Amino acid sequence: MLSLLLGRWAHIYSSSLLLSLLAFQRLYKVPVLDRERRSSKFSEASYLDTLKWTCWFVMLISGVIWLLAIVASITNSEIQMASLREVVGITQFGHLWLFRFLLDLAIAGGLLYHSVRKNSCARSDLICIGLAAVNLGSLAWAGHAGAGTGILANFHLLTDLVHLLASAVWPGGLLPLVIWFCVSRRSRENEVIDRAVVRRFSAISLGAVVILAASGLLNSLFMIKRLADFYATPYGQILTGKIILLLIMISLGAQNRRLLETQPSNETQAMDRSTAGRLFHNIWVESALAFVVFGLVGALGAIEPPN
Amino acid sequence: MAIFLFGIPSAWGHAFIDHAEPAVGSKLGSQPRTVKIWFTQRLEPALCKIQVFDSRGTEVDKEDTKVDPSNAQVLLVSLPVIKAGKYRVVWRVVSVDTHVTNGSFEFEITE
Repeated sequence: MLSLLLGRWAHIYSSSLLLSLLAFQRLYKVPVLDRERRSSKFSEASYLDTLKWTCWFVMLISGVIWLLAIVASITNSEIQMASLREVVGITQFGHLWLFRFLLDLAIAGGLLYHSVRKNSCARSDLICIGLAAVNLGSLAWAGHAGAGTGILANFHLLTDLVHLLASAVWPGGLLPLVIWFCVSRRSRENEVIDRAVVRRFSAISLGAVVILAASGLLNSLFMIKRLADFYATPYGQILTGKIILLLIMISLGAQNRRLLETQPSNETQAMDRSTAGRLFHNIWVESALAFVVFGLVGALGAIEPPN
Repeated sequence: MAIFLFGIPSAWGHAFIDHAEPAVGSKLGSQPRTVKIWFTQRLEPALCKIQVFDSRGTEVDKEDTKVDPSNAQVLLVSLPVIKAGKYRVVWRVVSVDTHVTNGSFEFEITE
């Protein structure tokens, strides 16, 4: 059970983070640098590339751990090649994992192409983002939502899919932002860019939070029958913990928005040092909490929901 | 809130029994040809099993468990001609989201 929980945690987090890292460039970095008319070494910096590859490897390894844990639980015995072949060959989960393995190879091809080219190319970036989005969204079929039938079950699958994809924008996008901050703070000339990136992140994240909250609420309604289940069952308790952590993160995000609003309206001015420091601290804490939240998400998919 | 107030469909998560034929704990006047169980989720056909045991613990079903081709949530096993007495149905299923559940129930055939 522990290997299943850890495998799910690492896999869901790395899948979401990989999409976030790929999208970060197109959503925040490129638009801001274009607006600032800067094609400095910043645009060619590869500090996120290492993390993309790390993410990809974690995703691959944790995917294998998840699969083996499932094989062990289904066969109720030690893992053997025959049982592995059976699960991969005949189950919906096995077929899904084969499909996702091919997707992972395609994403690796895209990352390799990007590394060899050494330059950002809109078309290849968008293809990689699309593949990573399908990769993340397909996890909906590996969870509770993938096993129902009928219109409501399909709607549940849809809300789960939307929830997963929104998670890559926020909170998945927090870690790339933390890393961006860490690198850019080395130079004072980047502070104007920092401010523009954080403002853009804040605006886009607000939309993602609304989508996340709405889809999360609908998902909860499908899984929880009674309000008492939120505190009386292990599933409900974990879900409650997740909601509390998300509310703390949202309050930190709201504080960040207030900090940005107190800054001079002139976009070409840098943030003052103390504001930038507080922003960095808040985003770092949010990012750490997001890591825990993904762990809870992994647990929710593995344990029995209330009857 | 509307769903909480007006009722929600059965929670989707693991495959649980919705109902069965013969019904759980029922007493039958006639012989059933099959034992049929309706679950709350779609099942993985090759990984699911129903066994029927008599009061001495001997398996009496035809060992031909299959998922109903017209409904992926229904599992059934055939029975030969069996005499009056108490029978125990033991099931173990894997839903398509890979969760394993198992359980058992009894039914009785009266003279």
